[in-house]
Amino acid sequence: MNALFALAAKDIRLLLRNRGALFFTMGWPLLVAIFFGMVFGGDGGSSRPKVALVVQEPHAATERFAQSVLKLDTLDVERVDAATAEQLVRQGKRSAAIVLPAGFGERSARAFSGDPPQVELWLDPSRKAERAMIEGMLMKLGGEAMFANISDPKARQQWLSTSRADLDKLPPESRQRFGDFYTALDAMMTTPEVAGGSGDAAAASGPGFSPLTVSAREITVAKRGPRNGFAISFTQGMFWALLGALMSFVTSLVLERMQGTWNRLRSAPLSTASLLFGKALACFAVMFTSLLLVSAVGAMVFGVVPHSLSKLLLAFIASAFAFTGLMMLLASLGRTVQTASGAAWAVMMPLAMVGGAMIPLFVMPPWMLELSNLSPVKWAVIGIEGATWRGFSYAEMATPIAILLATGALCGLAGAWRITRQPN
Amino acid sequence: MIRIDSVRKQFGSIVALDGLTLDVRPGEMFGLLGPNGAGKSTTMALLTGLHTPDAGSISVLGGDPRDPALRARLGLAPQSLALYENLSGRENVTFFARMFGLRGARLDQRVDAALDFVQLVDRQHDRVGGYSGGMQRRLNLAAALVHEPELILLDEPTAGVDPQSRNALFENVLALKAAGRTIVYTTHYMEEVERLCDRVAIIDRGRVLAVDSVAGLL
Repeated sequence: MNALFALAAKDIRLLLRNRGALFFTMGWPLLVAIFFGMVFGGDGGSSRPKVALVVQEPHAATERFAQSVLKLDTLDVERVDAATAEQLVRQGKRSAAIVLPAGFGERSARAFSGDPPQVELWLDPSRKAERAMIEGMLMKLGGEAMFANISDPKARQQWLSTSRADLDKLPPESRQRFGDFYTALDAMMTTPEVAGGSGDAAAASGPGFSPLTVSAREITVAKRGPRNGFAISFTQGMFWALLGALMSFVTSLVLERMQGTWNRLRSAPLSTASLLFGKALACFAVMFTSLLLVSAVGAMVFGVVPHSLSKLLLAFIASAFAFTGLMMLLASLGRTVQTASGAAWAVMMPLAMVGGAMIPLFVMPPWMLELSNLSPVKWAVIGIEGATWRGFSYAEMATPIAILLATGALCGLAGAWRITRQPN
Repeated sequence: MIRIDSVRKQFGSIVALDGLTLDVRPGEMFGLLGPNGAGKSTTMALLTGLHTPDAGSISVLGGDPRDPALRARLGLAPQSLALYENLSGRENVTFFARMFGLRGARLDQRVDAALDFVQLVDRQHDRVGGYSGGMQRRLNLAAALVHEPELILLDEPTAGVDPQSRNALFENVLALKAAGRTIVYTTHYMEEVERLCDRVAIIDRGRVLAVDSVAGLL
């Protein structure tokens, strides 16, 4: 076991010291993912949730609030009609829709009487994080809108006038207290210290008071498509990470045989199977690490967050296993670096083209989709996409995982069989 | 120590060894002298279990060289520089020592000793790609000796090196001989076997033409 780990560690160290191979294993996949993510209409690197805004009444206060929502830096907001908003949310093209319903403006003109202004949030029930974030944003805007009513003399007079007119709607024991409060508030806001100050003291609303309420309407996303172009391009980047490692190790194995180190290793007290296993172990480790790296950058920078981390790791393990087996088989096809790498490119490029690594699977014509079933690249793509944005269950993941594991085992055994029988 | 009896080895239509018979005694430095293509490297490959004879038999250290346990007692310095250029000299020797099962304090001790023996301690942390041809040959030897093998197989160890490096290698080989190691040394230079070997087999086209001490052959 010590010798096996030493074999694998040696290959990883050699890869890390080969800048070209390292670039094509770790750097190139990221460049491909980022470039094609932009080409596919990625959101340019923005990680802001995309939301729709619907305004259902022509009211000045409602319009002011809508404008403040549109100006939010933390949300990517687009104003649309109600039907469009619902469709966008249902298609998964927007995280949520913020709806300012009829009556919003009239309710926001009152201070402490009646119901607070209500905002509707239409979103998929699974989007809990986005919901909390958007609600927080709306509460902040509600507070700011209320402070605007208080701090602007003209708006304040109108707001206090409406509120005093509503005193009759309050219980008799509360009328006096609220009336006194409105008078004191008006007097305080006209003092020079407050009128010319920052107004922080007035920004806070009273205990138990809510500047607005948010009610949610659940809209289940009918078809889970990729959230953005990067969800597609990062899967393709992962293929290039696998391919980069595969080509590096095909070259490495052939070079060992050409330069004599293979024979030196075979003169050691280790079986040829052990030597090949050590090489495969290093190849698998590099592939798995590359996949983790591309995935981490995708998640942290481009918002390509996996649907399920455990399923993604399962897909990575199966994909790295399959490509390690392919590496072994392809390395057995040539006695020189030129012939082996030529054979590897000749095999891998068609597999990639029909497998969804170059043309996304969902835009392929039916005949090409049928053909793609023959490519292990397709099953790696399906497995990774299944865990990233297709929302696969474990049962749905079983097919691609099983095919990848079988491919890795068959190709690995065939490659090892060929290599052990080749003359030195 | 080594018994090769009527061994035949053929690669396609090319007969590499044609009834080769040899005996190497314990503690002896035995030379295999012959031109390129005589069958020297094929003999070495058979002695390390890399090839299997088509006919005849081979016994090394009393057993079959294809047995991994037996191979742990052999040390091969191949004709081609079987080293990793992007690893340092020390990393190369350490790696090959691990392949022979060395670990822990003994690993460090043996790597130090092997590098010291070939006088590469000063350059041990440099990458092998930056070594001269002579230094690479010496490192090739260190990697073969690091696990203290009972039988050392040196396949044209001075190929392609300058006279100064060749002399340094001769000093290393003579030190091994003085330590009583059994060594098989292949070359196509008569002067090398004259200087180093106790007995020599002259081979050509896979056959032994003569076996004797250097003085006897001359």
